Amino acid sequence: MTWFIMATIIVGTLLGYSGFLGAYLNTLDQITTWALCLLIMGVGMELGQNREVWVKIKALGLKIILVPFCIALGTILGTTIAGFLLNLPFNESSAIGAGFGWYSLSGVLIAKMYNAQTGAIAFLTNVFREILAIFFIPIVAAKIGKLTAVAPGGATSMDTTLPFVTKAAGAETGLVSFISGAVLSSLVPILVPLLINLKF
Amino acid sequence: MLTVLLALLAGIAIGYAKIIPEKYSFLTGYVTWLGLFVLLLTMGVKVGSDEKVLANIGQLGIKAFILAFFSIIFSILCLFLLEKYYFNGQGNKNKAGEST
Repeated sequence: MTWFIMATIIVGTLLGYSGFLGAYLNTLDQITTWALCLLIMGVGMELGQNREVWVKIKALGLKIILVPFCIALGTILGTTIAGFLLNLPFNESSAIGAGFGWYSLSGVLIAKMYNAQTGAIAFLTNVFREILAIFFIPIVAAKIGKLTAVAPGGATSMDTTLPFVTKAAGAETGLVSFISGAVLSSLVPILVPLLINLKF
Repeated sequence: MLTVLLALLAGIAIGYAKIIPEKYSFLTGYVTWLGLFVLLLTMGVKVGSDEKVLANIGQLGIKAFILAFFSIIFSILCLFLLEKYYFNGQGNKNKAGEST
């Protein structure tokens, strides 16, 4: 999966750099609008099929929703502060954060709806978040708290970083991690377009 | 923006209503893959044909690293406060991470 994503972007970058597609860039924009709808619909279908998430949330109690809510709040607060230090406007820094580690989706959304440069930053930020999370999870679980170990992974805590949470903080926390990741994943296609289009 | 939300809602409705027979549910994955493939390729094309982005890719990487670092630190901080003052404050019977 990761290799497929990297290879596709590298092939695309070489194509763009070579200038072969120069005359077709406008046609490309129409195709990508369809591709975006297709992707988002597919994401929605996968989220909709995940009925067992709601069953699990009911089992643990509705207050478990506070976990992804706090992670979302902390993430956007963090990237907004970083954005302030790096001279990025609020719509860019908050939308980059709202990828919650889902680099493939947040990168293409911002590249399509906003611009290539911010899309590239969003992609890289969320790649780094996933990599850094793998380092942070065991440290946080041991030094700060088991539940808090769910935070670094963001949306990835339902799949790629889930085994690290389970290993460092136990199966019970793993369940919270899955629910939190699922809720954050559902927020990505809503929050990223919303935040990137904010104008002041 | 509106198109994206409509596509998302349509997808959730289709997925939740289980319109697609179980046998073909693997197709959902292919829909996402196809859309993702086209968009990743064009993101690459956009980046590759933008000299400003290519020239600054190292600097963009440093910015991205700082953004990622801050996103993790502040999400840890927020969740730590929740764990310490809300979940632990309610007593062990409701402790989310350790309930059996």
